[in-house]
Amino acid sequence: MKSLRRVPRLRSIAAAACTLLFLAATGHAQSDLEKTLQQFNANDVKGYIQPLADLFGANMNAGMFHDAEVPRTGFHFSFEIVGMGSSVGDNQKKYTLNSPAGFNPATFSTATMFGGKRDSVVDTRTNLKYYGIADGFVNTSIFPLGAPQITIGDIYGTRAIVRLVATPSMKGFPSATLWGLGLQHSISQYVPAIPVDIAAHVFYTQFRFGDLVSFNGTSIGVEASKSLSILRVYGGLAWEKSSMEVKYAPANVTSPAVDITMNGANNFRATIGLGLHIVFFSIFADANFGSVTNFSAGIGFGG
Amino acid sequence: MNKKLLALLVIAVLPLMAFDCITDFSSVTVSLNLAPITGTFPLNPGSGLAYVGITPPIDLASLFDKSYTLTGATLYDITVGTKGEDLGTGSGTVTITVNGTTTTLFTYNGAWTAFNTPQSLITSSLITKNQTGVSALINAVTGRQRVTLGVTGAIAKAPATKDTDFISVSVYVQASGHK
Repeated sequence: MKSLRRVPRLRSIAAAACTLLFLAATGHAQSDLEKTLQQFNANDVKGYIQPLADLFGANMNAGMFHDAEVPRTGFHFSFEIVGMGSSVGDNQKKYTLNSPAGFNPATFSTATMFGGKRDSVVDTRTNLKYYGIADGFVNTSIFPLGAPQITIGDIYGTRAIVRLVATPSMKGFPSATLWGLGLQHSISQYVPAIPVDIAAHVFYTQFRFGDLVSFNGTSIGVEASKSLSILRVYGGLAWEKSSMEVKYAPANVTSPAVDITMNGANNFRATIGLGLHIVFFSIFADANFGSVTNFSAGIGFGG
Repeated sequence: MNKKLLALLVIAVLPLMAFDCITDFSSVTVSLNLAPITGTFPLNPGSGLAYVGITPPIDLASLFDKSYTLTGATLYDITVGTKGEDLGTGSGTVTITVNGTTTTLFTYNGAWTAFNTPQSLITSSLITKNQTGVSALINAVTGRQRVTLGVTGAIAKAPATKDTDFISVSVYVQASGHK
C-alpha cells in the first residue's frame, strides 16, 4: 500500500490536470468537418466516415489496463498519460458508393476521409458523370488518440479507472470531450495459487466530437500480468463494442435528416505488452490485435 | 510545479494535436449535391394542342451552401413526369434562360402515359439533352446566377379541365467546391 501523503504532488497534479482539461473545451461553432458532413445524406456519408468509427472505436478501448495485480485492500493512486494509435489499412481509404439511380455501373469506389482524391463514375450510356462525396483529408498510417487517466483503489480487490480529456477546435476539427469510467477486479484473490496475476475489467467510454458526432465504447475482458523485478509482462483478451452516432440536417433541405449509428469493426482484441515500473514511475507499451490493429503506450506516476 | 503540470498536459494532448496529417480543408474538394432545379408546367384548356410555360426565376446560389467556392459542376440526371388525364402522344422542349439568353436544355417526346412514371435521362430514350444548354446551366451554377426554365410543346389531345394536367421537370446537378 502506498500512502498518498507520500506523494502529495500527485494529488495536486491530478486535480489540476482534470480541471484544466475540462476548461480546454471551447465553444461549439461548427467546424469545417461538420459543415462538410452536412453536404451529404445518410447513405452517402456512411462509407465516407465508417473508418473513423473503426479506428476511433479501437483507440477508445485501448490502453486502459497494463497491470493485473490488484491487491485486496490498500491505497493505490496513479496518474497516467496514454497514447493510442490505430493502424489505417488500405481498406479504410476507399469505399464503395452507389452511383445515381440508373447509372451503369451501379457502384463505384471512391475515397473515404482517410483516402486521397475523390473518384468519379461515368454512365456508359449517357456519359453523365458523378463524383464521390469528397476528397479524403486525413493522410496518416496511424490514427492517434491521447488521454490522461487516473486509477484509484483498492477496495475488495477492485480498482476504478477514470479517463478525461477535452480538446479545443483545431484545423477544421470540432472541439472534443472524452470521458471513460471502468472497474478492474482481481481474480487472483480467489485463486492465490496461480503464478500470475489475473484481473477482469469492464470499461465504458464516451467521446463527443462537436455537435454532430459522438462515440460510445464498452470493453469487457480479462488480463494477466507477471512482474519480474521492475519489468512487467502483461496480456489480455477482451470483448468490445464501439459505435459512432452521426446526427445532422443536410444542407440540401430536400434530403431527410441524418441520424445514423455505425458500429466499429473491432469486437474482440488480444493484447500483449511490456511495462517498466520504478518506484512511482512507470512506462508501458502494448500491441492489440483484432479487426483493427492498435498500439498503445504511456507513462504513469504513482502506484 | 507549473512546468511539470504543463508538460503533462502537453503530453496528454500531443497525440490529438498530431493533426499535421490533416489536410487543410481549403484544399479538400467537396461534392455539393444541389437541391434539384425544378419546374412544374400546367396544361390548361383554351390553348389548343400547344402549350407553353415558364418558371419564376430560380436563384441557383440558394441551392447550395454559400460558404463554398465552386470550382465546377456536372449534370447527372434530368427527369420528366406527367400528371393528369391521358393527353396522347406529345413532345416538348425545355429551355434555360440566363441573363436574357435562352438555350434549349433538353427535349422529350412520347406517350403522355409513358411519363406518368417520371422518365430519367439516364435510363430513358424519350429524353435528349442538348449540350449547349447543359453548358449554359453549368456556367450559371458556378456563376451563382438566376435562371428560368421554360417549356414549349404540343400534345395530341387538348386538356378538358383546368389545373389537372401537369408536366414536371427536375434537373440534377452536382457542384464541386472547397471552403
